[in-house]
Amino acid sequence: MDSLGSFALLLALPLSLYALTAALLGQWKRKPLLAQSSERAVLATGGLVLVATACLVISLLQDDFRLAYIASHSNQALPLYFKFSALWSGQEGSLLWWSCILAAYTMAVVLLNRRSHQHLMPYAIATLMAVQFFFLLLNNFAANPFRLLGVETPAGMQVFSPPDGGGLNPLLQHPAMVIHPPMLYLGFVGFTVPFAFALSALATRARGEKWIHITRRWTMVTWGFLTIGVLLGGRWAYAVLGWGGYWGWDPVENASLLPWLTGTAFLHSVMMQEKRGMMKVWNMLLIFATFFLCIFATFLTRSGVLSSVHAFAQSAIGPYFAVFITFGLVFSAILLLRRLDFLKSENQLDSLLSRESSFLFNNLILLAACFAVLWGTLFPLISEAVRGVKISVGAPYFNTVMIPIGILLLILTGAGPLLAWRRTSLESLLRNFALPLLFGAALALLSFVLSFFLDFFQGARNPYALMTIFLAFFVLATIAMEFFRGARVLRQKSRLGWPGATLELTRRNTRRYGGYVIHFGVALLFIGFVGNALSTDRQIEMRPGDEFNLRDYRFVLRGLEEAENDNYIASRAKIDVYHGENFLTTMYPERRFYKASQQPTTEVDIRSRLQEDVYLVFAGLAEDSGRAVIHAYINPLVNWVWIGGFVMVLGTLIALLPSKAPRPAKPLRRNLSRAQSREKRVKERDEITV
Amino acid sequence: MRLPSRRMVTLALSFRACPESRSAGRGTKRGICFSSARLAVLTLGVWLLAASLPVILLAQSPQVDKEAFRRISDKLICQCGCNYGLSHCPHLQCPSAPVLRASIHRNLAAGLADQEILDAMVADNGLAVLAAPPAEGFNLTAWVMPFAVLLLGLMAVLIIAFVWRFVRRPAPAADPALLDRYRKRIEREMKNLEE
Repeated sequence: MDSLGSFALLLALPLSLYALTAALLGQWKRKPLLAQSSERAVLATGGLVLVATACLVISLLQDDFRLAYIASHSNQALPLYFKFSALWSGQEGSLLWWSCILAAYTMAVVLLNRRSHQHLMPYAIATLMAVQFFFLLLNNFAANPFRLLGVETPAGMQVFSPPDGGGLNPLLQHPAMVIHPPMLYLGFVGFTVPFAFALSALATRARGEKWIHITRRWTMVTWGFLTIGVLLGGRWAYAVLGWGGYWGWDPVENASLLPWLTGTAFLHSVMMQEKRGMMKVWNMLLIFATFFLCIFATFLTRSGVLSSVHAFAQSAIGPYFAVFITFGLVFSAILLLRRLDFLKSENQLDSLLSRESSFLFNNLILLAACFAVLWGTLFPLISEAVRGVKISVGAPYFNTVMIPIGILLLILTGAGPLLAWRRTSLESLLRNFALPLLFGAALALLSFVLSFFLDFFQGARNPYALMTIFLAFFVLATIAMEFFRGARVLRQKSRLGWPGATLELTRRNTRRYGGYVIHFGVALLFIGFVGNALSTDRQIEMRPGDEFNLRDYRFVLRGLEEAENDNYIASRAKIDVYHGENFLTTMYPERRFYKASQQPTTEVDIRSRLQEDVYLVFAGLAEDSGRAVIHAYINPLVNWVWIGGFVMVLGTLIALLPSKAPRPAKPLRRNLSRAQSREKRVKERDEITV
Repeated sequence: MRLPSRRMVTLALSFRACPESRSAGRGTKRGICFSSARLAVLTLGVWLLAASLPVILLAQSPQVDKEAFRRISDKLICQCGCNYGLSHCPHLQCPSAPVLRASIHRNLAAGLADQEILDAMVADNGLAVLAAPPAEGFNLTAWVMPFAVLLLGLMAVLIIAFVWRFVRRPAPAADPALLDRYRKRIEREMKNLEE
């Protein structure tokens, strides 16, 4: 398997270069056969990369510890699904996984577009293959997953197979890790497709919004995957890392957020280009930024340039990425500058109070957020380079900087969709906003008042939390009203009930109402964020029988239990949880020791409810007293973060569906047919008269 | 121990002047008369307050310490390489967090203020122990830049919006041949209409 995989990777490298060259030559020399040949080379390259990936997966499942990658990232006792996920747990495997996803995307692009968009395909193929060539270069020479372990013998170098592997990093042995990296990579890699078509549109001097129409679904699907990937990363951190939170502003977490922010800005601003022919240069810049931030995120995760609990690989591939990003940026910038005359705006802004201006501000805030995250992430490096002083930039910095920016974004999430294209009158603005504003203000006031009586609401005295509650409910109310207004009109015209009318409304304009659903999810997400201000925790050393209180909960340590399987030895605390005097449940936070990797981990136990999570960590036994160290957290509203994410993905799926063309109402159709038959009779009579 | 009730404090403080011995009466001080009963209440009140003070302080100090500890440790980063805040490092055998936490407790017990404790931490461990760079010198750029970019962007957006809104481009000149064709068509149709 290793020879086949290695050979497939090696063969794919020149083939990708051939596809790139043939695509360019076919376009320049006007040779359709060469262009066709390049398309076939793309399919062949894709096939070879898929074969190589399959070989590595089979080797992982067969415990072929002759391969250095498998020996250091898997072991015999590892469950089968974790053996599969070991594919992306290390440097070499994850880079092969990048190539594999890109190969699949490229093959899909070629198969779906080679007939319909022939003029754009050669340059798009060339771009995709240039990226593929770079990753295949890494796969073959910098991080080969098929490298064999060798041992020096008198007879020369011999292949060596250890009896067992070093095992998968225990932190990665979590169900979320089986789907989080693929989702994130599907997002990262997917932005290569709109980037390739954007470059192709520039290279071919294609006027119009063709490239945007072609890539709209690609971009949305990719953005959806990235959203799922980022949220699953948060879910994994929450369930595995045991610090009670889901977002610690770690460099790798930040790196995944950067392209999401620019991608979101792009998804909004392309609407201005589609509807009004505006922001053409800006959209190019945004898709370039998104693509290069995806590459930068991969580089940050894989190079070890910044220390992170999420960085599971460190090596010397940094310079490769630096060269690739620099070359790509320079090339894209030159091409953009040379084509500026093709990207002139077709329309102008009619009013400052319009959908267009809301998109301008939305883009500004999203990019400011992106800059703030990037600046904070890189500032330790900048400080060390400029002053030679090591500093840390952690959660307090990001929370201080990002919360005001997030609040501005939330305002636009609610206000933007209600503004009309071209111009909005002040009266309609007041009419649309009055009720949602009142609703948001009432709920914020209620939370503030309750904060003096109920522990749960204590954090609502924080001005940011209060502002977020106000704005989140303002957004929810504006969106609910939009659905209500549309459904009411439909109900007047048809016999549909409220659910049917809402569904029909959404089906008639999936893009618009899908967008509203996404905004609804964002508001729910922000409600979840408010929970951070309301959370509380306590760490305590306990003997069996001891108990402690946290808010309204009482925790009683019943005892400690031991468990063992082939993969790990576990010690778990058995804790009864009471709410007041009512027994709720027994929770089992664990401390595991993985045999193969010889590493301990904490396995938290979470009792999840809509209003709050009870989150228990068994940190181990205190060295001096031998007592169990239990850290308990009460985390309100966390579930709304995941629910918000789910709603956002649902909205993306709705927006991807084709809209249904409205059928004319029945009476109208009857009148139409009557009018048509009357016209026909008059015509016949006229002919007879003549 | 119970705190002196509000009613008791009110009684103790509501002395009024004794009209019969305003100038030279016993227990009169600056024109305010203390009857013996009220004096007893006052003494009892002061005594109760004094007696309960240590209890109040003792009861509150662990809470104050806990809050101060949380406040300070939230501003620090564990130095074991985990990148977590000091309050959150989940590693039991962490070589750094217990040392830093003990240092905070020691300094709190010594009566140091938050900033003094943070300064001591920086002196011992370097600036990297702070979870956020101090807003001074070069590090000020870390705080200022995001908002400066936001402001610059805002200005740029407003300028773009102003230019798009108020500085209108002249309408593109129409093709003379096309104009001529339309003119002829209008004339022809007008003529047909007249006929």
